[in-house]
Amino acid sequence: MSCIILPKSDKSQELATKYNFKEWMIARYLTIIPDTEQFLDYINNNVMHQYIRINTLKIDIDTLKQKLLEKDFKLEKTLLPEVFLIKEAKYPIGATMEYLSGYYYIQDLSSCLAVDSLDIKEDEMVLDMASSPGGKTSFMAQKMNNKGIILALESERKRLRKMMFNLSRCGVGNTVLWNMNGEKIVDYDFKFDKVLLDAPCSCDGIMQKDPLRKNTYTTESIKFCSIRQSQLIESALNVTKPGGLLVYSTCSIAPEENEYIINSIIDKFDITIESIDYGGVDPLLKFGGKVMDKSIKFTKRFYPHIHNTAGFFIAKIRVNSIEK
Amino acid sequence: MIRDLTREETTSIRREFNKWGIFNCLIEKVFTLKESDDNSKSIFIIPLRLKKLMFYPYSCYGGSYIGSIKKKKFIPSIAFFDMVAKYSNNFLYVIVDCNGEKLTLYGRDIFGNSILYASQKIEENSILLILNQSKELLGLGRARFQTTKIKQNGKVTINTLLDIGTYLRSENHQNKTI
Repeated sequence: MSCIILPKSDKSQELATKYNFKEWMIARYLTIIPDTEQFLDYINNNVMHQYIRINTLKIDIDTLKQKLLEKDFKLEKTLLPEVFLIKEAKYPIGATMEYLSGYYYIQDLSSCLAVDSLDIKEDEMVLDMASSPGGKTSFMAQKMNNKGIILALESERKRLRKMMFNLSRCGVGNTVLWNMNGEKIVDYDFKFDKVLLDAPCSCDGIMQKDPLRKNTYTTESIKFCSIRQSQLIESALNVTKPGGLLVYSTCSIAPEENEYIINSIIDKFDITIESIDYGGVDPLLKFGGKVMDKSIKFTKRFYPHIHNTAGFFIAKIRVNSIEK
Repeated sequence: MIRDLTREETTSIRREFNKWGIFNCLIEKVFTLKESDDNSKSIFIIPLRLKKLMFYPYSCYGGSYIGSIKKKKFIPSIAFFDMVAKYSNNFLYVIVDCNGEKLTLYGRDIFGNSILYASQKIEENSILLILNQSKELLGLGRARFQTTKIKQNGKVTINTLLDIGTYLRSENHQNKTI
């Protein structure tokens, strides 16, 4: 769907000038994001939070914590036992022996929450529909203790090599990677217990990591992504077993890529939106004149300035039967 | 294209597993081979249950990447030696200090004074594992000297052939095919 443009105001003009953003973006953020100015401060000040996820396929949590403490890392617990916030590190966290050995993966807490929401069991058959660079795939393999089967799809050939090295580094052994568009999975006769669709998105939720995105972000990119996301989620639902679970996530703040996408499938499929148990803030139940289905309230949004994560959206969708 | 291995290719790989004492790692697993556009041949070891998925046309990776075949010879990857370090008792190795660890991770050769321990039967040109003080794999090296002379001060005594830092350095060359 097209990007919804909201009316500009004195406030949007003021903040656009102050923070060097496009005014149409600010007009939307004022409606979407709680404490918008704090969010803009966070982005402008380049505040960086870094998390690591300990890879229990290769090492246990306490042993790695001890090794990192000996290297003067300061770690803080998070909602998930295997994920830690790096409070202080004397070395670049992507160049330690422990990183190279695959003992940990540098991964935002929000990404890990998406995987954790899938409630994966060891012997299940799992689909990761847009998998590169492999962080969520390797976390799924970790949850499955390298048992079961993961089929990981990645459409961009140039991203495959990094994915392969990450899987190899992390000791993942239960995954097959296909260089294929996620939409095409319906052409094959597979049904999965769990499906993760961390959809390709316009990525304004990670602007603090890449401030140039505020210049390249356009209404067209939102439109392009939301069309793609609609196609992907319908394919995902068609290959999820009845009783199975689909988790849809994006690192976008745009409702057109989040609540609208979930709202669009509620009438088409026999599904139930289940609640997310990790806090976060409530989704938008109304945006651009559209009132969403009540069950959208079970989805969650995460924001950098509130949750110290990427801007992120998660929806947990139980498939009751394949089609209505 | 993914395919099964020929008998000759299988023998070459199984021989290497045998040589390094990790034959047990093959239980309930099979090899598959991926031939790329540049004629490189990557070898994967996969659990039997993954085999069917590997043979679809879009498949490009599965299980664990354990090396490649060049001119009919199996060239093991760092993941192969990771299995050796974990599951075998039958290999030559050296243990290096923190300085040696750093040098190895940058793909540099190792000086004798960085070596804290060396296996007894190392000969000139022996292939050995380079481990840190926690006995974790850092890389693979070739000895320039036998055990008695391997700790010589101020001299490079081991050439690093392969190291776990290869992963990081390879991320800068993403256009190559695995």
